[in-house]
Amino acid sequence: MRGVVRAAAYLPSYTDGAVRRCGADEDEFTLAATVLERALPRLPERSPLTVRLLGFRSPPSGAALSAVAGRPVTVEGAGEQVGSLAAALASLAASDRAECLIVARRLSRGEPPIDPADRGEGSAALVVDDGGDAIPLSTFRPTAPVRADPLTQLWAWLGGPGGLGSVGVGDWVAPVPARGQGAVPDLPDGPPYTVAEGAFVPAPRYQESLRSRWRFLADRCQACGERTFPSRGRCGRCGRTDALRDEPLPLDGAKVVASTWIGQGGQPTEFDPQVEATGPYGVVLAELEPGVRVTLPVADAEREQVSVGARVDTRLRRLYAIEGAWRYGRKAVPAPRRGEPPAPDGT
Amino acid sequence: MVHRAAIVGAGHSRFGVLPEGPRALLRTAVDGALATVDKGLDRGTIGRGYLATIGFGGWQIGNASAVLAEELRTPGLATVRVENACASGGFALQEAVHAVASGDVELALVAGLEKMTDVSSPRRRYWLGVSGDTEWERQAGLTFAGVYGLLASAYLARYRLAPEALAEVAVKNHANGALNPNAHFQKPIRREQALSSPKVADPLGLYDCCPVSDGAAAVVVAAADRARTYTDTPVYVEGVGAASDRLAVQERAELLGFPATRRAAEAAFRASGVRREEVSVVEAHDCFTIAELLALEDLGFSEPGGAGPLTLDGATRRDGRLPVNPDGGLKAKGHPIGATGVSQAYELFLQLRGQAGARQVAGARVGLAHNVGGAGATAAVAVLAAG
Repeated sequence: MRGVVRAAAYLPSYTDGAVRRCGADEDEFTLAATVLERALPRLPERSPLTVRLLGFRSPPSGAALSAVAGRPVTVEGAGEQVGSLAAALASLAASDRAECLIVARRLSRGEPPIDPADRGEGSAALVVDDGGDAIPLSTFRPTAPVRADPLTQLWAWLGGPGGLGSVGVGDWVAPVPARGQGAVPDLPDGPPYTVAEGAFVPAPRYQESLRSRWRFLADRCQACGERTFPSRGRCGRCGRTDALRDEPLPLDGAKVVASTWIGQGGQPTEFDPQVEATGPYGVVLAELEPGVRVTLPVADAEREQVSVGARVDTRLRRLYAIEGAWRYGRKAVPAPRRGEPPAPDGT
Repeated sequence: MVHRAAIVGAGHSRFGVLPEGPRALLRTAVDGALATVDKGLDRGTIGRGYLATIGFGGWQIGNASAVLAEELRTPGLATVRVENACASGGFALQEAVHAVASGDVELALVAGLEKMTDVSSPRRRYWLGVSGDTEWERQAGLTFAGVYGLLASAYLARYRLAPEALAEVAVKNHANGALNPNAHFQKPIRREQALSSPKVADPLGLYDCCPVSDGAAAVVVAAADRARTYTDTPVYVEGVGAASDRLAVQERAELLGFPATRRAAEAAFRASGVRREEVSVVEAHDCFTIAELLALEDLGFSEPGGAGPLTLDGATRRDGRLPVNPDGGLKAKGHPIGATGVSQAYELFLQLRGQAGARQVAGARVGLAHNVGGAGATAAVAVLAAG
């Protein structure tokens, strides 16, 4: 079978706060419906669809999803609270039906997300069918050493080099967050907005940067030993392009070396909707390892929690939308103090 | 030393939110520069024209330098646009110096221009914010206010300074701007005003940021051995230096200064043979108050961490021992991006000829102009001296 990824969705921030505000059930239904809406235009018209749900607490019914999809929807795996992502992916890749995998990360404190021990291999597909031209399925392998859970890695892989190949603007797979009341607390609700006057970083360039942006992969030069971050496809010291090896940088525990809080028109135009919705926001320069720094927006934090010297973890979040598609990147969240449980949303 | 180039005329438009369009601003500056050439100058003898502008107001993105030839009424003149963001003017001046020093041309005209206030605020914030690193810093939600806010946070934390040091830069430059009839802001402010202004990019408040301004400036650069054909009091270009750095601040080894400024200053001082203690007036690139403190240290006028106390002690006031930005700086005079570096040369031309009027620095003989692109990605330094 020649499977292709037709659409993908991922609710990156499924936090306590979101659940408190809008209720878990509504949130989960919204997530599933959003994925379906995104996927449907890419599926053969009116064909029946099998939807596999993973990690849902209150899974929406097949009838409810049929109403959304306007076609018969069969729900599978609805009872699984915790499942193996790798197994689901492998099963999807082997399927000859149009299928949709929707993963809800249950990230409330004390409740495990998808099996954190899940380190298997599988073929990645969130919606697959046998048609077409789009994105070839290849084998998804979690990177080693494993620093994030498989879903995050899958996600980075979908966006990374060799994952999507060249696709047109608007066709590339983007995580679609749930709509509804404040499912993602640091950005406004609603479909991706488009800010006509926003800074334009073309989608292919954004996509090219994802291995560094999402996975914090640096290039280690095997010839001279230099580490280059963000990845630019050549060694920053000796210039070699043929001796680079991926080297993951830590996603958590970075030290804040500079910190600002943007308000009163200090934001770029494309951040206007966020400021209108949630007010001033923070940006930090975080040191992942000595000498390796990255500029990160701040999420879920007060000003004083991310001042110079503070420790931050990173989470994959929406940055802003342009040309109708969300841009994603890591944001800094306060690192838990010793002895505290980790923050929700363990991406 | 053997002089290679001299400034023999300088012109300036008003800076601010102005009704004039870019052509009218350019005309004012260019005509002003030609008019100040004491012994007169046939504009047809100008051999090369340089237009420093980032985008002509964000809309004439290509070929803007042809407008310089038009407004100079020398349509056959070879012109070129020089663009290094906020350092465009400083770099354009250096191109002109190289052109006359090489002997290729006897006279070159350098004009800087920006028309920033006749486009919508979102559009303005779009094109103003694209001179930093767009892939990482911009996508993290930063414009230059944010990038300098980061730098300020690191600086204040490292040297355990209160924001008063930043506020004092604003107070001093506003006081100077009040004496400059071309300045965007001509009103003094109090330190409490600066400290209590709304935060734009904490720790930077509104009064820590330069305004968005329209304006133009121009200077006439002559080969040094021909300078006295045009005036008896040329201002000699003693030495110039320039450098670049990584575009993104996150990729630089340090946050407490700009290596590009240091390299540019070293080169300019070396070329000029001038010692730092001989400098009597400084035009420093103070797009944000923190930038003036960083500049004083990078230029070698203060040890690291010393610029705050130096400023609080009043040393950089117009009557201090090292007057900095007597024209109000970018902070009060305004910052029409491409015009700024040329405007610095204009100010030193006046100061070193004793023509700066109410804001004249007593006994100014040697001046330094320091122009930065973005947050230290490019920097140009020039040392000038009275003839």
